[in-house]
Amino acid sequence: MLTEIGINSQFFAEFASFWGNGVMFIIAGVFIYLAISKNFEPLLLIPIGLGMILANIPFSGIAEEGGFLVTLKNFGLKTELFPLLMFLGVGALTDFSALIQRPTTALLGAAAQVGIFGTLIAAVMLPSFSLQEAGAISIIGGADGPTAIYIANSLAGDNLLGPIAVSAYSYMALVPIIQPPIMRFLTTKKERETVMSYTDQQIPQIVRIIFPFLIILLTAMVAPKAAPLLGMLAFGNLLRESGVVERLSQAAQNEIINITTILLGITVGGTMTSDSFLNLETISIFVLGLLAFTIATSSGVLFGKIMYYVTRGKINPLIGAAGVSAVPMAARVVHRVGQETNPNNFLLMHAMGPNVAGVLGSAIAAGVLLQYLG
Amino acid sequence: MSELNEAIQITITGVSLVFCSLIALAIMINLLTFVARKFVQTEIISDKAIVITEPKIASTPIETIAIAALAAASDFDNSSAIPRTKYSNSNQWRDQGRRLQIQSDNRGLRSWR
Repeated sequence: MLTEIGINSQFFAEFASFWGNGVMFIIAGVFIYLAISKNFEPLLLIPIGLGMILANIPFSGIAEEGGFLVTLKNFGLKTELFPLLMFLGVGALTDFSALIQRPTTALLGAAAQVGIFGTLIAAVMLPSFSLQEAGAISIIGGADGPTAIYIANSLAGDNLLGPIAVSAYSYMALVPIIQPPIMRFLTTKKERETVMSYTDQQIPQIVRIIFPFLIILLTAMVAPKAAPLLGMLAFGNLLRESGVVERLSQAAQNEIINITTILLGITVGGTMTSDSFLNLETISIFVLGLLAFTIATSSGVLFGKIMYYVTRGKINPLIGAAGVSAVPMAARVVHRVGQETNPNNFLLMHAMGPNVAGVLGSAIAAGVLLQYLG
Repeated sequence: MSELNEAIQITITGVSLVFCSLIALAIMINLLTFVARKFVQTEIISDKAIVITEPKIASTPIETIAIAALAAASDFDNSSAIPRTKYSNSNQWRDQGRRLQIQSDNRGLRSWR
């Protein structure tokens, strides 16, 4: 009867999922609202929000095979091209001076990666996730959007890509809210007051130029599966530091990363259809994401405390919290929390060392996950 | 259970590898910086602004600029203290041949002509 009047069961199935589409529109609206009014990761949340709206328009076919969002996904996500281009831009934008000036702070960038592996164990204990999916979820603790998307796509596929990407970017935006209570809880007032001496030592240009090659060497030796990510990061940084390809460096810092951000955002949003997003797994991913950030911040600060005692009070343990990546937001948070206790304490540059080391650490951790689970 | 065991194994290996690799990076940076400071005698200070052949002449860029400015203002002629200056894109100071003119500086450096 229904087919006689031209209405088939697929129509009813889609009609029944209208409520789901409605919920997705509301969630997309919240993302766009937070991006515009609260300035929460607007560069990503606006394209993601709009991608979600487009993907959930019933009967549009945008998010089905042949639709432009699927074409973008096949072109840029399945091939891992978009995250890699993002890393090219990140490399060109990142100044590793703070790390080169104080290389020991790299340890804090390593300590914060405990968040990734701690979450791996927590996620695998839940019955709903396989080991590969747990690995993909755990990378949220790396607080690095492109790495999260790269790993989620490699290990978990389409279904978890959207929730993992949104969770990673949401928590990165919430760093100023999540981190300070943990930092205050784990440190004493005396520790937070620690003033670190700063000497603006000049870094010879040759060191800046060789540094990207060190990253490549390290990747090749330790985590070759991370070579695409860290290779592009090193490439971007070499463009910046070589000083002879200003046009290319500027292109990587502006046009390439901006265009990729738009395409990546709308494509990730396009994967977030109601049937793939509105389920218990998404809620679990958000809870695990919060756990990942909490463990990462705590391990960074606790390792900072170890360095504080080893150096007899020369290192402020707060800077360990910046090891979670989220450049430069986490470093700013460290600076602000430090100034709450001592207004004359300037921790920003000290926190930038672990902060950029965290980018390297999370990419190496991603390489390890790919090595074992890919 | 086997997945949990595997996850624990990956965790131990992963944390060890991340630490080892960043420790290795820190050591390599230290070595590289040491070698560069020891043997490389040319250093670009900032913004292609000045090239000075003695890296330890000053600890901060602003001090280096001040020394360069002093040297230039004293009409040093390509001496070892200031072998050569390059153009600057910034508004802070400009090279005008042998005499260096500093127009303004937000860190309180006085003008030099």
